[in-house]
Amino acid sequence: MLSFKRPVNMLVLINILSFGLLFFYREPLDYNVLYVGGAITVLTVLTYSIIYFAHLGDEYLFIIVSMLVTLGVVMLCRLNYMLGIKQVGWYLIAICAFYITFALYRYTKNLEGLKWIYFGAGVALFLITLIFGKSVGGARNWLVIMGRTFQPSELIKIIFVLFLSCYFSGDRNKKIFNINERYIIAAAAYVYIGFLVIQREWGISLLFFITYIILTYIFDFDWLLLLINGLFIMIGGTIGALTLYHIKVRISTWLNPWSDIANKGYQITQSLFAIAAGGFFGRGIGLGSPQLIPEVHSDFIFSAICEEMGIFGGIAIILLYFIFVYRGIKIALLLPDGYDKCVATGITVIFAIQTFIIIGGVIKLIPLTGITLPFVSYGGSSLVTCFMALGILQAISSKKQVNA
Amino acid sequence: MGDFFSFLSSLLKYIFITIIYLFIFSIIRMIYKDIKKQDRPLKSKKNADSSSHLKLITDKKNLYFDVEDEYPLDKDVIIIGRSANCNISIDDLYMSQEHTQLWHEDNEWFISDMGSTNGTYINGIKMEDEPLILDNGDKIKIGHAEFLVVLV
Repeated sequence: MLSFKRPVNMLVLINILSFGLLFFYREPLDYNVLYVGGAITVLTVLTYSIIYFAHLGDEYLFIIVSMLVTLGVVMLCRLNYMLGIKQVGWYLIAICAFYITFALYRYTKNLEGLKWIYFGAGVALFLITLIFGKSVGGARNWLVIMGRTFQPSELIKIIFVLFLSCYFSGDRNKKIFNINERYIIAAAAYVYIGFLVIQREWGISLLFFITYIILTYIFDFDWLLLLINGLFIMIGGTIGALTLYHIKVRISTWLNPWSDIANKGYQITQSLFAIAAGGFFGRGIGLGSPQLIPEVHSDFIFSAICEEMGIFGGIAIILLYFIFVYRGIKIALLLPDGYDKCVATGITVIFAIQTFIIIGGVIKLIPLTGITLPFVSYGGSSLVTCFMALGILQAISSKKQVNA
Repeated sequence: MGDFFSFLSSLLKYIFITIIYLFIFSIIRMIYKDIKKQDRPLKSKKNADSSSHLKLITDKKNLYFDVEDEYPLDKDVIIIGRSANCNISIDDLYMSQEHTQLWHEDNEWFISDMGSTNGTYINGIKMEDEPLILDNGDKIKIGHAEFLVVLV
């Protein structure tokens, strides 16, 4: 009956062991930890069973993602117990969002006809953020709705993919005002990136740019356009690196964080110390000191996992993202050319690049930019929008099975 | 933080890593099997029409599991069942691990039920323990799926 060859059983085992361990972490013993562990296990198993028995498409996507969420919640409960509870609450909301997006995408027709509505929605969200937004950590990118903060740029990621897919799946030689449409789309993509630069969201603007380039390369290959984009980003990047204070700081702390270790280089050096302290198998959950890293619960959670679960734990996280991205690309490859194929590719690329940017940042491979690790980092808007994107991918994979 | 917790945590970290990697390995194994299953029918499809085969006659839309339109009878012994080792493996919950056996002898195709839970039906009649000779146009119902026997 209970075979350990099934991944979901192993996930339940991990849950029991890790939350059982965390139960003994604080004195006096706190039974709420067990409730958190129970809640996340029940949610995961229930959703997986629904996907598996109701045949809602690919069964691997959700099980991979729920492993990532579990590792994130375990680490958050250990770092700051309140954040762990909140994250499980967000996980519940995220799963609801997952089902709603799944149903909407699965049973709505003519999604590819709404090109300029997507564009308008994205721009409107940006404008609302600029006017009513609140600054957190140097970036004016938070909206406050009923006392809760919300990051619109997370949602715009999905809108951006939907918008680009409308163009890539449609008639590509159409001309608007005698200009080839691909240049208009390029301009529209730069409008999005421009808004993000105004908000000083370097990480997400880089993410948008790379996603746009990759999708153009896959679906609408054109040397001239790639050359223009390459030149544009080189000139823009150089000017930015030479003039803008924020970017200059990031590049100098990337090249040599040790020169200003007490201030600007503090975060990245603490992250490197944490990863080094972990070794191969880590120091054990609760035995390290990852709380020394500023912002460890959101951007730097990968370093905390590396410290307490070791390099092997970190590699496991990266491997999980690898098989997730592999599944996404597999789904996209099996589809016939069209809107769904572009959306599946776009969402997979967004997840892959976002993971690369933040993990590369915290291990000092590339300059650090503040962006969340999908599914693992603490953050309501990040978790909910990641699950919305997953819902779209799931809906696309279930469509494929019907047609096959 | 007591000694007990330190001991437990340092012990469990090895177990965690092991389970996580087993988890990843099991997913990769499942995906690998999935791909292998998808590749197989492509090779055998070529000669299916011109030789003896089993043809699916149930509407695929009513079946929740993956099943091919045609299965060639290209070996002397063919076992149908839910197990992945069967020649014709169909993941139907109403099917036993090894459900039905077909074999070729003296220019005839024989069928016999391998002691399955839900039985094998030939032209709507549940078959007994003795093997039967198949004719062209017989209908075999195994689990949810029904097949037409095409003998050349």
